[in-house]
Amino acid sequence: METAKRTRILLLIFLIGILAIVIRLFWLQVVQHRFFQERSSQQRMRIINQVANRGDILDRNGNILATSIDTYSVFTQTPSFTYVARKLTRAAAEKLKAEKPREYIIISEKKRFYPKNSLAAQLLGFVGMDNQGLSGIELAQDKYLKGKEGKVVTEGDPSGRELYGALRVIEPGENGMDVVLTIDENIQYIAEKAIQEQVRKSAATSGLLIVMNAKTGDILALASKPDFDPNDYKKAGPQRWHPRFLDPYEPGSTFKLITAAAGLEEGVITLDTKLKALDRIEIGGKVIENSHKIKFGGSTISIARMLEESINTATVQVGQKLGSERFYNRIKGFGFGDATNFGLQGESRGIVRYWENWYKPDVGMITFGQGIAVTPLQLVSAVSAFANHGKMVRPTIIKRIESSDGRFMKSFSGDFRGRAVSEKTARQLIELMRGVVVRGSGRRASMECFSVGGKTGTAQKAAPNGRGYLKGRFIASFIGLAPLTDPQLIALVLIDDPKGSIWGESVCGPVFKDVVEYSLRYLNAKPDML
Amino acid sequence: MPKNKKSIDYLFLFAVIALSAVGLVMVFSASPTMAMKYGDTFYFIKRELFYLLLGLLALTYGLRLDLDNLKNKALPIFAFSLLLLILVFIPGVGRKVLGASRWIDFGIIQFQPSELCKFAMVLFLARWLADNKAKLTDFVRGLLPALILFGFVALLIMKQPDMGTVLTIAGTVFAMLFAAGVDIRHLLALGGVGIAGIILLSITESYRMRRLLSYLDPWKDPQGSGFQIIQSLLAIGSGGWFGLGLGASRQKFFYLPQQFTDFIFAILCEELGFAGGLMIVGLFALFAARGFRIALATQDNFKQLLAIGLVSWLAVQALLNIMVVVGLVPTTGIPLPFISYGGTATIINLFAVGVVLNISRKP
Repeated sequence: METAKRTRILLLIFLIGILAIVIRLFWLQVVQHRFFQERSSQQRMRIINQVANRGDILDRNGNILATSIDTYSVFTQTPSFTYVARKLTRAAAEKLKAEKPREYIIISEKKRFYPKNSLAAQLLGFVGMDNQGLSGIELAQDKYLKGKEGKVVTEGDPSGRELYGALRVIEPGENGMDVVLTIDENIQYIAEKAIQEQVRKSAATSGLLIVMNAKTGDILALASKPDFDPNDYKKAGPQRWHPRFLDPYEPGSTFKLITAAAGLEEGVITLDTKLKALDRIEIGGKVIENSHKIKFGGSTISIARMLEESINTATVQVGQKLGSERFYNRIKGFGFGDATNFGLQGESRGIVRYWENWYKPDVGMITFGQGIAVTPLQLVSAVSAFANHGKMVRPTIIKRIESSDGRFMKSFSGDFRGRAVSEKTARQLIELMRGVVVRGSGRRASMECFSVGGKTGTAQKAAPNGRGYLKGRFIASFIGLAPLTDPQLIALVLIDDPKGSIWGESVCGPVFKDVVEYSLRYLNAKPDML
Repeated sequence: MPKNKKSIDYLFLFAVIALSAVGLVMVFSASPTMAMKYGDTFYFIKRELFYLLLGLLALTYGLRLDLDNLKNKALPIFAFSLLLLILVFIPGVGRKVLGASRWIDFGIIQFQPSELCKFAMVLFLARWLADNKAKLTDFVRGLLPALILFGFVALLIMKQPDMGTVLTIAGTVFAMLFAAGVDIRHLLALGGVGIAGIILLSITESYRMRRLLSYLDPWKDPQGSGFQIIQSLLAIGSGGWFGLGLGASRQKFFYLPQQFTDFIFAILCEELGFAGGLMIVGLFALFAARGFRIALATQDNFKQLLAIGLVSWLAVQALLNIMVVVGLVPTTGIPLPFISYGGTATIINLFAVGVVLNISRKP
């Protein structure tokens, strides 16, 4: 029958179609299986980064100087991922979301927070929008602070949501470590207040105050004003962000301590050596005068008096006795020209030219701190030799780096940079510094219960182009230590470009006294004077 | 006419029940992702279960129906289905979804007239061919009226637009004409005209053209026109021999559009692998073989053509759907009988099965 035959043909055609499908399925599912499997798992793969919590920055007593707090950011995914606003309070984020409830999504994000606002701002630095360290300790110790980002590799749907029952591969991250500074927030606070007040009084460009533990090198305060609030760093500018204590300056008369130590150590002078206090002296074709109005008229003076009255013409004679090479080697022996590596990036090495490259007047000029540039921390470190029987401590800003669970710990501080002078010379320098404060230009640094030694400085400001000096512009300074029977603290006060009185004695001496006296009492130091 | 009652064809029934059961399980697996958008994971499953129950009632009804009476009412039923087809274009009655006017909104139920039309067309054509058997070899008097009829229906459905259904009906009509004894040369000529028509329709409508191009090279625009077929192939291909396991599909998470309707076969292949795909096409082969066997066992010309028509319709639709999903033919939207989620289709497909079983019982 015709219909039966034709119906069988229909069935045959249908079965051929089925066969084609079976072959196709075999091709797709068996032969090409790997290809499709990889393609589909690839398109589903989502990597979710798990941000590690940034470590805190603490002072030596565990007080928080920088931490991270929860904030709320609002983003949209139409047309693509874009932040609408970041790091708001919860209330502000919810208010913003209410504008477009279907489109805006709130996520929580950590924001760096500096609870003490501008306290130690230049030291701490700040972080960028993605909590990456951009300056200061935040930058220098970023690798410890930031921790390790974790990762979750998972499966997502086309709109990015994780699939129900997704296969997850978790690479755990690690939270950042806490950086414990040597800073004591109380001393830091007092120091900042005092230096800010002096900058204001002197109408100065800036001021700096370093307080260091004389025995361990722990920096207890590193005050630099004017500075900024790292919570709102954009309001200030790079000028204020920059840690000024990293930069070199011409130390002026404070460097006479180094000259005297070099002369005594080399034996070219003794405490009994008599020098002529000339009103002017010529060296290498350059006439050197004293900065004071007082005329000494060539009278005979001791080394002690040379420092007490800060007589340039006398230190020039010490330089002449030393000669360039020996003087240079002694300067290098004090660590000038080498970074202290106290723990922050961008530290200057200072400028100490090799003695063969010195101009003829340099051997005289450098004796009173001109024609040489040092960093404040180099000077503090150099003077620490007198407090430690001739050995210099390394200034340190970081006490410890530790993970929050105490697993990892890295300690610093208590490191010596080497011997600068003999024990005898160190002892002699302590006495010379005492004389400066008792009888000489450092009188205003003297304290009621503690014996103080120090040296003033009033340096002409070097012109930025390196040629000559700026007329009428000075850097006033005072470096000192106390108490002298068992030196606990070394401090350096710098006031850049004071107006009115320009002398280190009057501008910096009282600041030193206020801050160091407070600090010694705060640290329960034993008074050595009654 | 001999009235010797036989038992129904259980193998045919088995194929249908098995396919429907697999379909229910697959809708259960593939629909919750979309159902979540309605706030109820079981949104589609509940409905599918309900449709399936109605479908079983329809099957029973088809089984008990007086076929002579059905034959007599072929014209009114056909006319009624045409009327419904026209209604989808009336605003307020018809409902537009995704740019297509395929539904009539009865409030709680959306009815898809083109599904009924497939049945009505087969019924009417079976009767017409049986009544005009002698004239079939004559092109003008025999074949032309059937073609005009088909052309009218095709035009209405094309207007929705629903090319998949038109192609299914075309295939079904072609199979019926062939089985009824139409001159092979006429059919070959018709086939040529038909293919030319499909090409013409494809290049005149931009979305069809894009589909055609993406069929030729889907990877050319993987995020655009090639997206659906690529996602379908990724689903099928990643299934391997035995699949990711029931419920473990990844592509159902909005990578593959229409994951529990037109493209449900891809999800099935992803979850049950080559073995699962083979099982489904095997069940459809069994369905076709038993269905045609039922037709051949019938002495009555009308019943025979009706059985051939109904079986051809469901077989052609299955073949077309699967070939689309596996990328053998260009993408055209059409559900997989018994498996895909659907209301009208589930009920009418099972009613058609009931009618075929009815014929198997009273050949």
